[in-house]
Amino acid sequence: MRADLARRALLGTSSDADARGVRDAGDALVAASAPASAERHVLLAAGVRRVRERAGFVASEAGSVPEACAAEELPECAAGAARLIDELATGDGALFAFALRRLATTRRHVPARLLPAVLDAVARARSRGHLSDAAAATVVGARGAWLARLARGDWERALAGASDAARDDDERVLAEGDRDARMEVLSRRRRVTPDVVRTWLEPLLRTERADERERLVSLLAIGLAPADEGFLEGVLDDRAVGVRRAAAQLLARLPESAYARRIEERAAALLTYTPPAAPSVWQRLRGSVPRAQLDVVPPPAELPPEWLRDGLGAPVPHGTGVRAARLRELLARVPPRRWCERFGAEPAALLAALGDSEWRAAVVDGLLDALALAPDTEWTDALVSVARDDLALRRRAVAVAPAAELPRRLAAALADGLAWSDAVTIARERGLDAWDDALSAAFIASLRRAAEVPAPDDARARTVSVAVGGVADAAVALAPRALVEAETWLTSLACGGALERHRDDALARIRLCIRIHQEIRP
Amino acid sequence: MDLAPERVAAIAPDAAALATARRLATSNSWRSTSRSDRAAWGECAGSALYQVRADLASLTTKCTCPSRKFPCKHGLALLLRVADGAGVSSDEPDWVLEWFAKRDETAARKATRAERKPAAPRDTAAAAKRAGARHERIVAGLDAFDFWAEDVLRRGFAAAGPAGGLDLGAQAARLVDAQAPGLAGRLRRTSAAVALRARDDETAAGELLGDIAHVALLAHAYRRLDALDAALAADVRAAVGLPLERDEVLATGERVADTWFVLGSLEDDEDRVRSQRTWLRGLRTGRDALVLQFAPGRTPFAETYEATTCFDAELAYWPGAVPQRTLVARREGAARRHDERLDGAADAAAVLAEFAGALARQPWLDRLPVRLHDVALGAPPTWFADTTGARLDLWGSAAWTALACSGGARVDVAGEWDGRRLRPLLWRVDGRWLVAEGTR
Repeated sequence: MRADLARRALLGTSSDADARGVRDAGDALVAASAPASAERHVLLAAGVRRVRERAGFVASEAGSVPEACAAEELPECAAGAARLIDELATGDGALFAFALRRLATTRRHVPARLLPAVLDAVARARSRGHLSDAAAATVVGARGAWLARLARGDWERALAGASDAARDDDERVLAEGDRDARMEVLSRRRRVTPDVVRTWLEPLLRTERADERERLVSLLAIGLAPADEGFLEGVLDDRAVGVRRAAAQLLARLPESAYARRIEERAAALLTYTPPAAPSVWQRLRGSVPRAQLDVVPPPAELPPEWLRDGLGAPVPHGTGVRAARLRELLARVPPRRWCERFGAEPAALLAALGDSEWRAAVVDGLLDALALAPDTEWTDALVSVARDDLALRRRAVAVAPAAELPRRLAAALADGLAWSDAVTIARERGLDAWDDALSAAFIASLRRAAEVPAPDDARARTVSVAVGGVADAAVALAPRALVEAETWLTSLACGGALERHRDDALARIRLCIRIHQEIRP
Repeated sequence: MDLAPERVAAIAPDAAALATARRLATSNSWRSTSRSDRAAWGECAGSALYQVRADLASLTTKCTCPSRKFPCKHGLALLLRVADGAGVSSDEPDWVLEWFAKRDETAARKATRAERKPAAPRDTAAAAKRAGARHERIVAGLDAFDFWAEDVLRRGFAAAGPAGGLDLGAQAARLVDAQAPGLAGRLRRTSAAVALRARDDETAAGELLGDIAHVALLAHAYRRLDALDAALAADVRAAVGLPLERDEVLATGERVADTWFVLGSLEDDEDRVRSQRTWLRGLRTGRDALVLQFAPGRTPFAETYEATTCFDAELAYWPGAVPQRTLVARREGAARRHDERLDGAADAAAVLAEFAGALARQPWLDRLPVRLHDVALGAPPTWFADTTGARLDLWGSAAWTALACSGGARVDVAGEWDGRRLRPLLWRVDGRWLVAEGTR
């Protein structure tokens, strides 16, 4: 709007003697109609002005437009796969990430028209760690990377690792962003440039609160390497016990670290292994074999200061003795294989040598905790076998099995009575996201057995409902054959009301997973 | 007939309905799915057993469920099932035949009504008296509006206290009471934020003055209807809120028969009534046409127009200096896809000149449908550059999909020009139409 008219409107015509002045053709037009008052003149002149402004709009000069995108190197995915990705992009995040991970293995990218929705969904999936850098870059292709660079922000960060602009943006988030945003950047960056992230942590640890320091230190679990030892050893001097423990947990996972050696020496001082003596004549005649002996001297209740510095001395769980807790804590930081090497005995022999020691439970707990840091096939076998009648212990032994053996052990445990929900929990905790046929079949069988246990109607409905939820939850991990079996089971399930809706939701998810397997074949 | 799932997605009322329909399409709820050459139908178990039927040519659906969304999730799911190859060929059952018969009957009735001369008013004198009384009420309302506007101007926006001296909502309500809803609507479009800032900000004051003055100029024109030519007088009447009745338009409006290409539809939600404007382009005549539909609450609009399709029809235009609004007097055959490029302006200057020419004939024209060839989208895609390097801004959602599809190459755009920005309806990328974000 013309400045003089706007000023008159702001200040009022009553204080303006020249309100009826003729300045342009619009004023002249209005003046010709002889408006009754100065206000009327301004009003009509402004009306005419508005029309003239709209009619006289002049386009501005454009800045530079984006350079054309480079040609795609990889082929586009099939139409069916694209349709599926389109459907999933605005829906279930886990299914979307699953579909995209599969698509990435086919070395194909999504069609350009889906890129905005897919980049949004990729950004969400990446922030939850559901999608790797390489997978994200493959599925969006050259066009997606080009678009993300133009968009900057979330899309560009989702394809991280990448450009200078993304790095600038990350540094801005580190300096100005809130804690969660900063943690997201640090986690993502740690996967790409672990050493740089460690250097970023140093100043933060000097200024942050204890709970945030603990979170920041725990972040180094991503891509933990011997290069982190010096930094973590320094963190052991932190004034907050939680921070020290976080560092200690990580150092214990570095078997060649000075920390690991210190802890092992302390633990070794508590254990005395006596190999079996040669059998005497009398024993030979009686057919008895002398037993090995593993004696345990638990640590003192009051720990020395240097032990406390090493993150030991955690709060004692209710119902546990202090010395037993200290023993467990110490053993938990030593790879169990080290005991075999040190004592020259196999795991089963060492467990047998423990006999009925009053410290047996603490030792076994400590060994199980240690297996989580350093998985070991023979130790897992030995613990599973001694836990024959102890379901909880067996569950824990399976849970710490070496990754390659986990599907087989879980399948066996399911057939042997492990609850399907425990299997899901263990698989999730261990990052097992694609189950083989055997594990999938064992899971479905276990689930069906649980759902078919005779029970009063109400209780059965609850059990079935939980089982239906379970199969939907695990759908992404199940092998195709098991998915079809799950579909058959759900379809045949007699139910009504809320359970039917629940069943239909689960069925829809299962069918989407079947479609993902069919449409996107690696 | 091949039905692409994208076409089904395009007619979904919202993303939630589409997502539910997709789930429903693969669920066990379907007791049956059948189809013939022209229709698909099925029974879907929900809270009750619903009978769902669809016309495969127009993608119109009908369902016995109580949903107020249209098409409902069952209708969409049925179409998705058909698109996915489901449905056994069989004879149409009675409930499908009846639906088609009823639709044919309604269409015939509409056509007959279109052909029929409007019945003479039962009492011409009474009607004239009513019209006179309404005119007086409108004039009285305009007088009150002018009085308020002049008073505000005399004192200045800066002196308008927080107690509502610049309460445009209250003035709009008074204009509605005075039976001038068109003016009221224009006043309501001024944002409350601008009205608030106008007390101490010269730019906002200019903007607010422009909005009020635009309405005042229209009121001024209404008082001088006799001095205007007939077409512009009809525009002024319509803008104030006295458009011709549909029957009158059918009887007296200019008729144009053509193959009409659907550019797209945009919805506005104002005062509990939704309005939808659908822009059409005559492929032979090169005429633009606007079909306005209104629906209260969530009630579906009576007609569905699918962007990028075309259909043969005779349209009747409301009179006007720049005729835009039409109604479909007679429609023939089904909608079909149209993939050809449209004629269009070579540069922004041509679009601006066309708009200026239209404003010269109709100064209150809100929008003009325009088509522009070979533009390059900016980044972010909230603007584009024509071949001469002139920039026009877009409004609505940023055109990320168009930019993604173009890969930086030049594209065609069709949309609404409002005098400052272009609201895209369609992009043409790589020889294919792409429906713009936020449109249908």
